[in-house]
Amino acid sequence: MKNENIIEVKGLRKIYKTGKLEFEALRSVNFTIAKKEFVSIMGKSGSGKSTLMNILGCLDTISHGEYILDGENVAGLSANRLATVRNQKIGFIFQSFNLLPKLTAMQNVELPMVYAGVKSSVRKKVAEEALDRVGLHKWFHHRPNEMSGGQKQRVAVARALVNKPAILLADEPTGNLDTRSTEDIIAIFQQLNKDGATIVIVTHEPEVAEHTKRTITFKDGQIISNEIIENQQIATYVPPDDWQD
Amino acid sequence: MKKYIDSINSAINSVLAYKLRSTLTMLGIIIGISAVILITSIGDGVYRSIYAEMNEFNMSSIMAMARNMQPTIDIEDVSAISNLPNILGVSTVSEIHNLYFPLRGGSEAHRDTLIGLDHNYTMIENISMLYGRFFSEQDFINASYVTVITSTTSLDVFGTINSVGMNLDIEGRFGRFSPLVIGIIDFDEDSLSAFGTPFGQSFATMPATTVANRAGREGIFHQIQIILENPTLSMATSDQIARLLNLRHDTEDAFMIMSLTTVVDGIDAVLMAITAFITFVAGISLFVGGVGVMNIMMVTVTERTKEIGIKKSLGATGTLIRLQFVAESIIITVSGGIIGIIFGLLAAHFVANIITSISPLSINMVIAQGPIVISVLVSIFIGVIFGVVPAGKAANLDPVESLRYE
Ligand SMILES: Nc1ncnc2c1ncn2[C@@H]1O[C@H](COP(=O)(O)OP(=O)(O)OP(=O)(O)O)[C@@H](O)[C@H]1O
Ligand SMILES: [Mg+2]
Repeated sequence: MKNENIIEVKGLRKIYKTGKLEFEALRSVNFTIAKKEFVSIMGKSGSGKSTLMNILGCLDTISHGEYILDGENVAGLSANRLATVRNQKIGFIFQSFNLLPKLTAMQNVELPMVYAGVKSSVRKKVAEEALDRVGLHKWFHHRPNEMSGGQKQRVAVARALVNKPAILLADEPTGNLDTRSTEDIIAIFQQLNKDGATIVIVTHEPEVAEHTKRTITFKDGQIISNEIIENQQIATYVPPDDWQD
Repeated sequence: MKKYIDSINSAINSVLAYKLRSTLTMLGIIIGISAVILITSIGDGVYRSIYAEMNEFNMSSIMAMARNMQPTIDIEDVSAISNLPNILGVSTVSEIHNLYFPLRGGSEAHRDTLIGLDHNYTMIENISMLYGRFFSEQDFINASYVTVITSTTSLDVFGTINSVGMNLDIEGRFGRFSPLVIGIIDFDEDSLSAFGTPFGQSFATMPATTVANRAGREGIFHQIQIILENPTLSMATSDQIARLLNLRHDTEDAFMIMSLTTVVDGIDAVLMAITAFITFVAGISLFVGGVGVMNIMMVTVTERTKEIGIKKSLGATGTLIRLQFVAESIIITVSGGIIGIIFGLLAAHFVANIITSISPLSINMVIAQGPIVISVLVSIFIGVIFGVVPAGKAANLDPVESLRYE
């Protein structure tokens, strides 16, 4: 029987070494995330949320324990292999957007497909669809510096989607956004989740967490609570045309 | 494959994005490559033009004289040499330096060399008579007081090109004499012949016997000019001539035999030495240029840490990142190489024109493919060698660290 868990973390520890000092940022963390879940991760600053996200996103490696992503044990994979895993299975969304400033929205969205070896004509089509999906059909050829924060983050979401990843990981995706843009991004996440995407987001804001289906709370590198959200809030979906003012 | 092509595209765009910096980085490569192209093209041009000047006529020329430059060769030496195998013709040469040729109508005297030749000299060098005739065997045997001069000399002294029948005044250590002008020759100043043509250097020529007599050394000459039947045997014949002369004069190694082959070998050696030196200097320049490229690539990698982090987070492998930076480095060095080739060829063209205008050599610039291909290969090589370290640094950057970089 196929495992329905996208993420399985067992006894995960992350130890940072700076000189002779050792710091344990994650201490024996265990949890699973099933397909089609929409999970928020909360916790005070320094509690290890980003550390966890980087590990889940295969950007960083674990010190001890097990991490099984979509049925594959990723602990101990080579750097090149991890890059391929990131490319194929993970859509990462950052607080600071991390778009390439010299590339247009289209080119930015195409990038993961370039690394996947998708041919140009297909790339264009898929990128257009993805940008359409986040309401940016008039912004294909604009560069990041011509866009608002909300628009940039929508480009980043489109970019995270194009290789049909197993999971979307977002580390404080609304941290740099105003309430209007935050609402838009959350609405997009809810829509994507409804369409079948598995999503994990880190957030400081309880209002954002209320829009997810489950919240895992960290403190000092450990999980202190793991709760299903009783009455999930629904973000108002503003039609795409209203976004481009 | 697709992603590698895209990666190279992206490398080209990066180089273009930093045009000024890329150009400055290329400077060492440009200088190194253009120096090599310049020297090889010029060397090749000089070489070819020397060969072009050397028709079979002077390829088969040999000259024999005493190492101490003193007149030692007698008429028996000449006939002995002419009996050796592979000898087509022999001509004696004698000379007196520092004679005065008072100019008609002017008080100023021309100070120059009187060259003694014999009737066989026409076998050594192509001589075209403008007026009159060249020396005859009778002139040589009788040591007649006759002279053959160039049209330039005739014009200088007599104010006319055709001075046949007039007497040329000559003064010097050996008294004053006035040989009869019997012929005017057309002397092409631009033609380079084996040893510096006597005609080219002299103001006037007389039979070698007359010149020797005048100098008080009857029947003793400076040099023998020899023309061979088969120029490919020039080395062997030279040896035979040397052996014969040493035997006849009871000496060990008193004579030098110069053939064009030895002269060309000499020029060859000089050209090779110059080429080796310039190549060495160019090599240093290329090395310095390569280090410059490496340095700038290091800076580029550091500056673009964030970009590298983003690309890695999206799934670019270290291999791909490495390829992109090596490609960038190669693009810089190969562009530098191509600019260097163009500059080198332009400079070679310019230098060839200068040499042609100030020397008797007429240099035809040939665009040699060998050095160009090698230059491009060397550029690629430098790009790879000095690109791998920065590219490796980029490839091994930690994704999390580099994403955090601002
Ligand atoms: N590279 C590193 N080397 C050493 N310590 C680190 C490193 N990265 C993070 N840490 C430490 O690990 C702990 C967890 O950091 P992390 O960034 O995961 O916190 P966070 O929960 O994301 O905080 P915030 O809400 O401020 O983003 C912190 O104490 C931090 O100082
Ligand atoms: Mg964080």
